[in-house]
Amino acid sequence: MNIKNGYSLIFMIITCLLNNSCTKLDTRIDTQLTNKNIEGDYTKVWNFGYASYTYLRNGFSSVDDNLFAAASDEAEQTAPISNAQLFNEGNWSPYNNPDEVFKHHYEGIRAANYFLENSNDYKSFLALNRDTMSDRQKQYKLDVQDIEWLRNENRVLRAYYYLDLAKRYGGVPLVTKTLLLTDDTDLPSASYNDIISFVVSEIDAVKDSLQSDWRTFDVAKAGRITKGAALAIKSQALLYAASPLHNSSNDKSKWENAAKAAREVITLGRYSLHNSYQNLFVIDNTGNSPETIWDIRLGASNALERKNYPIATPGGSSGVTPSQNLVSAYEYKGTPDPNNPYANRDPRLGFSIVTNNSNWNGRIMEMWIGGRDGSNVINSSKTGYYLKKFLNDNLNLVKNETKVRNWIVFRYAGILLNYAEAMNEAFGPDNANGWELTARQAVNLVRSRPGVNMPAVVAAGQGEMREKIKHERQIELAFEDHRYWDLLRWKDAESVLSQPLKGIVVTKNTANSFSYSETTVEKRVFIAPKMYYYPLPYTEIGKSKGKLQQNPGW
Amino acid sequence: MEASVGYNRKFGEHELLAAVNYLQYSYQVDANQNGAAGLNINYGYQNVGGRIHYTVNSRYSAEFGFAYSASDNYAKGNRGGFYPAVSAAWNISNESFLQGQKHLALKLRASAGKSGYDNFSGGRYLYQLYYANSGSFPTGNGTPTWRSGLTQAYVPNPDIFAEQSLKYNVGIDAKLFNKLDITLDAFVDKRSGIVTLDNSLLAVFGTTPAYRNIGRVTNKGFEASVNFSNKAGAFAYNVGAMASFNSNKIDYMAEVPPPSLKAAQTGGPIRSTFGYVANGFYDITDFDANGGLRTSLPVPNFGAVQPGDIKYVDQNGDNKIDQADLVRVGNSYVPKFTYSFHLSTAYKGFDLRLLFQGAASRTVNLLDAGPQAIAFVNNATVYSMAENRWAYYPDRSIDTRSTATYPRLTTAANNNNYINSTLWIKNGDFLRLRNAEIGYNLPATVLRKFGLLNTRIFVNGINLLTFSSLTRNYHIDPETMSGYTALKSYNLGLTVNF
Repeated sequence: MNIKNGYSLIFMIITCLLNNSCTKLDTRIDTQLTNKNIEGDYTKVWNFGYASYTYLRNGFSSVDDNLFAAASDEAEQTAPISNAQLFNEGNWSPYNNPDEVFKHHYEGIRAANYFLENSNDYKSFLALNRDTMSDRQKQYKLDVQDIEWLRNENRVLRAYYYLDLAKRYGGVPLVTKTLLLTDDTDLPSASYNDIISFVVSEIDAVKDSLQSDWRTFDVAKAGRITKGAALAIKSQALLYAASPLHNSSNDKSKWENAAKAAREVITLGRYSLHNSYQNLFVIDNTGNSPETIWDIRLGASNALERKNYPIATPGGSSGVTPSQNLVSAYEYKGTPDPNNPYANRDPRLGFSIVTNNSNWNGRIMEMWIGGRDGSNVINSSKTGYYLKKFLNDNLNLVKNETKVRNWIVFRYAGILLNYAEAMNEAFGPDNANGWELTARQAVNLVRSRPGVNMPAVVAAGQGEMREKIKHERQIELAFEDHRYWDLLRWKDAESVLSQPLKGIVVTKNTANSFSYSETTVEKRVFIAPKMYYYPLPYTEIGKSKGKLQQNPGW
Repeated sequence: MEASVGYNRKFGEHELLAAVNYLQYSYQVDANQNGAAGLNINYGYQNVGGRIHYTVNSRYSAEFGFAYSASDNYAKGNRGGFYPAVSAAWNISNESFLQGQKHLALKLRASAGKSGYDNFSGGRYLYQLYYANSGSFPTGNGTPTWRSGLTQAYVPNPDIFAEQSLKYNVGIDAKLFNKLDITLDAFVDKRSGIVTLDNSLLAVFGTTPAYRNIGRVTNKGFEASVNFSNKAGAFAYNVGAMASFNSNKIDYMAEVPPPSLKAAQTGGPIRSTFGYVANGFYDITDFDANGGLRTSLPVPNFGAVQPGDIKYVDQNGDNKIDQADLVRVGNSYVPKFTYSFHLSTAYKGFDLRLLFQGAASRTVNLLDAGPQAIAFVNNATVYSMAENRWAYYPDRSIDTRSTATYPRLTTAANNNNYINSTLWIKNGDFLRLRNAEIGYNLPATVLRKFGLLNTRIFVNGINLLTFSSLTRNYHIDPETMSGYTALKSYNLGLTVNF
């Protein structure tokens, strides 16, 4: 190549670099989804709308992938090395929190923000590639309505994530837009009250633009947020905010707001108590029950039975076992039987807890020393009880039989108890404030469910009624992931969660005669005041340049 | 496509050499290696490079090189980078004051250059927004319908670009008496713009943080080699040694601040191991009558402990053993110091070659040896290192408490014992006879009778000798902690040419 040709080559290279004329660098072939290749696929708008839903957690997969109950005074986890145990020993910290949801919930929040910001133009997006004029128009209109709901549901979901964060951490940073790389993520926490105000205002803004009952629109979409679900979230938000932990001055107007919010659910007139406490929680009964306000639907499974069936049932591994602390809270309904402490009790005991010598899994339960389910058996219950609530009886685990079961987030009985508590605090036990129900009437409604039929509560004044309502929540909502949070908001945790966890030792005397004695299963630790709030993860505090403050004591 | 053009001219004592070349290439990788369409990944590169080399009187030389390189991995308009390099050399032995002597050849070198690296294992096209499935949510009565959600897979970074390396090198080449060669090199390599997840973003960001060009690492090193060849009559020999010292340090990696300041990766070498400082084993006196740990002792965060479990140092004195007590334990698995020496001799028809290789300033983690270190757990077998286990059965007069080097034996998973700690960190230095060979060439006079050109018989062995405390004490190969150990092999051979 002579010099002249060399110059022309250099010239050619420079020109092609400058104008990209010879560039072969556009090699990208997108096999994953990009903006370009979802253009025109209008169904994708649902996928973006469902994204925030996919971050919802159900209470069956909480701490240790099981019920949260083992981290409260309701139960004990059988496995010696478990996350619940860290809670119970007070051995949790910003470095090691077995129920760390901080990052996870903000992922759900981001998904909602992202959808809300990017689906403004949903009507024209839904019209892409389809005929909106002919008989297809009807489907188009339904789709428009559906996405409108879905957008509002995302606002409710976002509020729910914030409420769930505030329940744990107190005030947290309030992010209501999709943060960009250029945004400052080092944000201070909003106050607890600001979070609650946000939750309430978001729900108030959209409550009338939500589906009321998915079964009337498309039953295959049941499980999504409804108006009732949104109002139930608001009820919980205001009840928690009115409680002693967050209302140290006992501002009555907070309780009144909580009562109003619960009443909003009640006066929808859509919900009523299920006729069987026993059956509500098993198979897919929640799906069609008038009591269910919001449940998280789940596929068929036997995971909960595998984890929590009694040790002598093939496939069972004890798991979360109810405590004597809880069992002794069930009232007697009639004269106590000195030979059988489980006779003549509130029927909800037998519906929720497997006791000695009772019939379950098609056999007699043998919790006595030497029995098949007794303490002598490896990995048997440490408390002398086994869990019954939520579990389908007689599921054959050897044949891997499964059943559909849903997790109830809110149900009508819970709302009645929210109402009773708030009414009692705001107006006393027997003042209906001109509304339909007094506090006492609301509690008694829950107690008089068919099959439960507990007598009306005996409580003279507001103080006694308060204790009765707390007790009713403990019994009615047992294992439903309310107890721990109720104890926190009542500020009862320091006295209750520091009590030793009790179990029962059963000795078989003669045929069908047993003696029972209480035993301490383990010491429990609750350090007040710091444990009233979760610590923020150490990573967050470490990354923050002082703006995000750790909760006190951690 | 490739093209190049060059220029070369001499004038007097000066010589100038210049060249420019252009290279454009692309290739496809069949991701599933099955030839199926649609799974081919394309790569494309474009490179313009050139150099100007200038020499004066074969004493001084200098070179300027450059490259403009572009990769398809980055956003349009951000694909190319300019990478210059300069170097200079002084050939001292060509100076007049050394001219005429024959026993010394000496050259000093220095260079500095920048290079780019576009191959990031975490994914390509990081500037592009991709959507990914965030999971699915079941709805509907009875058997549910699973509704899948879509979210951003990660936040795209339009500015993503190639990593850079700035390398500085100085060196000496010397040859003495035409027999002894010495080469010395020292280098500093400043790597920057390493593609790293930007962990400085807080969790409120709500998704996988973006990849950014933010990581910085400094590599420093020193290399030396000597080689001596000589011949004494029929005896010819060559001996040589090589040593290199290499250390690296993470200058920045957007690290999440660890609970323990002593467990920060930033500021330390790449691939450091973090663990607890073991302080013997719990004795029976550490527990009360109910089997509970005495309150004066720090509570480990890994579940209940028993006598014979490993006891750890509470670094921060909060009476708990948790992540806040982690420290960097040992050195890196990658040795800082490697060396080798070789010998080859020939005498008449016989020849002998030996090559030793070694590494020092290195530690290994016995837990990386898996079942060989963790006795019984997961139905694993038990190796001899567990013979020194902690055991105390006074009724059977077994008491190894004062001599134990291994925790109590258990068949259950044990979160307290089988975690990184100084108990499991062991010296990983080794010296190996990598290669040894003896050969004999049959004399030509004999061969000719059989019509053969040359014939050699040899025996060689690979990895014949290993000097390592790891092998001696734990029967673990220092180079392969688990799986098949380095092969030890013998070969007997015959080479015949005709």
